[in-house]
Amino acid sequence: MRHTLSRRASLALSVALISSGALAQSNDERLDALESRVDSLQQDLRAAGEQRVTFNGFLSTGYARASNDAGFDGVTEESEAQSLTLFGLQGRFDISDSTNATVQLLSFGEDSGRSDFATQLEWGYISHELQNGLRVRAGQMRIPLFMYSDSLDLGYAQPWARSPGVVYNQVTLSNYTGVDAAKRFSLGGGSVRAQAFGGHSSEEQTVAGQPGDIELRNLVGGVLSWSDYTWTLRGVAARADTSFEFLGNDEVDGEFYGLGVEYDDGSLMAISEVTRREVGGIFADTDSAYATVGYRIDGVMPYATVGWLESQDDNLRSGQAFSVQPSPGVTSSIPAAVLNEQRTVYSLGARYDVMPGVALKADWTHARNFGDTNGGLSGNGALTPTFEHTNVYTVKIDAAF
Amino acid sequence: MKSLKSLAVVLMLAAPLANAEVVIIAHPNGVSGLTEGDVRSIYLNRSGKATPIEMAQGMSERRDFHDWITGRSESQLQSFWSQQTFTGEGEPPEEASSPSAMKSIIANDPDAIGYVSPQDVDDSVKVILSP
Repeated sequence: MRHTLSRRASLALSVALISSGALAQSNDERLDALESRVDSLQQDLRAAGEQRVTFNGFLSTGYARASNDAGFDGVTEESEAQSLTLFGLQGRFDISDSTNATVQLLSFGEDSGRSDFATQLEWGYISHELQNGLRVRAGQMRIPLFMYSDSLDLGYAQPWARSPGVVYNQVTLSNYTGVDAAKRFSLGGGSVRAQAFGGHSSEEQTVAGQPGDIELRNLVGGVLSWSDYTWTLRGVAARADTSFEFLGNDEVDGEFYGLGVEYDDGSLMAISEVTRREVGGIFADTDSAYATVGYRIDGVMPYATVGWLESQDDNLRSGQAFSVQPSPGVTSSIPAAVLNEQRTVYSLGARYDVMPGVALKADWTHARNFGDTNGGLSGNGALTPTFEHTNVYTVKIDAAF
Repeated sequence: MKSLKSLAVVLMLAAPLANAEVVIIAHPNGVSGLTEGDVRSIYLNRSGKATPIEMAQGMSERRDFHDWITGRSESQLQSFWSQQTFTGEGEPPEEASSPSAMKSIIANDPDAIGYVSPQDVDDSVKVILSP
């Protein structure tokens, strides 16, 4: 009823506008009246456009092949496309101006512990922003250990075809269930972001060929970053009561520290992160670092990366062994030295921004300097390493929409 | 001779581009006193001082604005906003399809800021920052 009335009213208004315009014989007046009507329609459209639910998606697919079966990033001589393929769908539901619920579903082609194209909940949280600008969230989120942790699966937001695994695979658990709080404030011509988080994380992983749950209890940490848009500096520290099923579930102290720096002036881009993982008991402490330099020439950015990882407490494991149960009732002893890990990784690649929202990437990665270890590579025998180096070739499409 | 001619044509085409610029606008009773750094923070999701409005992709004002304020290319902006969206940090700004749509949005929202070419400025908005 109200609709009919208002429609009639606006019809009357337009007739009045047109007839008054005709009477006044003034094109200016008519134009003014029409412009104000267009403006009010624009406002109506804008109000209607304020959606309470938004959906976004992303997709990656590609092809990778290695020069041997050492298994760097799980890639072997048998070329395959599925492991690089993933789809993500995110829904954001605005409950009020300051509160929303966000759910992100991911479907992986293939990955450790994940079955073929099984869809899993990657993020799922409720977020609320307080009057003072503090944003609090609760639910399942990313453990923010690395500069690109939050967008680990979102290839489109990363410069690389492969994120530097020496750093990014150092802690293989990527999600936690818990709470976080973050706040931004201005400082010295830039802005500071402070974040604290806490919760619990558990996932089945394969370490030294032994599958089992890794659990992080009482996980707490903080991230402090500063950015003036050209430079970004970031520091992170986190700890958790850590246990490994294949090591008998003894609880040990796990600590993680990271420093990151990024420079981006629009053409030249450089990123570097240095990280340290310290785990009590027989499990390896590792130090790792990488540096990437890239330069944008129109839509193409060639880049080069050097990365390094080395376990620091190898002497602790020499002559030691731990027992595992490959199947019920069967116990075998494994030298603890299989947990030692060392490798240096070189990458040359390029990112080509085909159009806004779509990037094409190509990459050649070479890994070597494994020392006495298997380089932490899944296909390189943990007890008797057979490969001294490996090459991985990757082409990839990353899209976001 | 031919190359001189084409050089002249290139210069003629390039001249208006080099002069093109935008000014930052706000509601007549709205936000004021912003620096270039403030505007950059507002448009790159680092400040809540004002609600940013963008011109639609492909509009010359949008390119001029980002050349001046953020120094980010279109694909860098897309990459940045996809990262913000999928990590729950924020959503890209609302977009206006024309200078008059931009002015109409600004004229009706005291919290919003936007940008137009100087020749498109009228009484409905005020200029708060020029290059």
